[in-house]
Amino acid sequence: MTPLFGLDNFYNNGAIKKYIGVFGSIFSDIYIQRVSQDSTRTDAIKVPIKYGNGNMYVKSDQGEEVDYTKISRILPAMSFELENVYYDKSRKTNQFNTISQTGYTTTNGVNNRNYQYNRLPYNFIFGLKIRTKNLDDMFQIVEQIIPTFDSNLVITLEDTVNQVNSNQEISITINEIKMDDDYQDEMKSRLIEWLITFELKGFFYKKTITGFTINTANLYFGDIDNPPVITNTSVPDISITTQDPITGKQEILPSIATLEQGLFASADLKNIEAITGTAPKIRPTLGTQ
Amino acid sequence: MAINIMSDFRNKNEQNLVSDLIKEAIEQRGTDIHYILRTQLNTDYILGESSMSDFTDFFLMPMYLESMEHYDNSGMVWDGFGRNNMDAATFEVSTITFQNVMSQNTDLTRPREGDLIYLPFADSLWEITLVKTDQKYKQTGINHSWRLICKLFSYSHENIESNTETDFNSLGTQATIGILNSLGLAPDSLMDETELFKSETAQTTADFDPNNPFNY
Repeated sequence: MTPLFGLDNFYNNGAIKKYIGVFGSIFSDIYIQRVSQDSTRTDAIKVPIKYGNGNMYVKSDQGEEVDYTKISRILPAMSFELENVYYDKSRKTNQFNTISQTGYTTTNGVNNRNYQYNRLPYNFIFGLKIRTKNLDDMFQIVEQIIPTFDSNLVITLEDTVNQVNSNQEISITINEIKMDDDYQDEMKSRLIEWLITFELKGFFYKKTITGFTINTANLYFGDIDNPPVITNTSVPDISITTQDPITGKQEILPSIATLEQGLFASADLKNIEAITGTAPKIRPTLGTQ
Repeated sequence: MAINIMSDFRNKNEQNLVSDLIKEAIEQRGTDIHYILRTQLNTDYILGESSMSDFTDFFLMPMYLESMEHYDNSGMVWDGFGRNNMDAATFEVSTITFQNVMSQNTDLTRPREGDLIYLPFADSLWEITLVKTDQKYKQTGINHSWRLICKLFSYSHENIESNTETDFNSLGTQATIGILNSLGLAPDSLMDETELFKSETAQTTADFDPNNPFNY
């Protein structure tokens, strides 16, 4: 059995961390405003956001000047966590579809076009917690967030890490909103906390495979037992002239652009002939193979 | 059957004696604290709050630190927002002292929920969540002291500054900078990771501007 894992098969697309970064940046510039009764003073307050998970030795400021016994906490604040991930079969497409690199990269004179087999649709559930000390602060924050997801927020991500450079569109929707207000406990400072649950429709990506661009295509027509070489051309010349060996009629094939899709990535027909001693039998319906 | 009239201490002289004794005891064993008045600037009577509050009136008076509670033996909760200090404390102030100090500048006759207490030796801010009468429930007929149930203050960008008799400095009108400097907190105590998210997103998004996510 071919090993499924191991160092030779290692890959890391970093999709989850990307989603976390994108999700956090959506809410990174939320402000609230407080206006005095006589309208002579207005305070604009930025609501900080952080990713909730993490170790205290990184996430907390341990500088000498910081003394956490001075006050309880600083509000308002937002924090989010990735809570759940589950498979979304409604977005499932053919697993043999490929996502190919746009353009190609040249390494040691060889043109490579990377591709991946189809990505897996998964939904990522994020919980955004908002804490404030005043209801008015909370209302201002929530009333900015909810209309933005009408009915979803679509963001196009450009993958630059997984060597495919393909764009992906992810959509984010609000699932539910829970509210909590512990105003009844006089032993505590009042704390208002709302939890907004979001669903991010994302993907998990498979291993990137290095493919090759087709520089030469050898086409055989006519007598399949004694195939003559009709033409030998590079891919950029997409028109090919053929000649029927019996009737002598010339014909221009419409296009071989489909070769570019990687279907013949490893089909060096000359090599096949050299190895097997038999020319491959290919019908002139190239685009449909 | 009534109590012995010789044991009834609910007369004016006894009341004054007990009040003076409590006042003296607090001055002996207590500590100087700063009582800080809350000024509500946009009171909302429906929501029951004033999101914009100033704390600019400071009054120095002795109080007795009756108890200090650390929940779960630590008083510190670590959650997705960072550290949350849950400590509670009970202060006791003589009614005579309180009225003497406050009557000079305000018409306040009792401590109020929502006002703050600055504890200089611990350099900490406490919010009064509940005001109770003395522990004996006025057995002499009057209340001799106020017990202030306090929690460490949850700071929400209120303006806290004073030009008088305190260790606080007036550091401008920007409330956040003022409190952070006053309490010795670094600006990154807000633990804002906005810039981290922006830099992470800038590498991956094609049409999404993290500096303007809502297209304002």
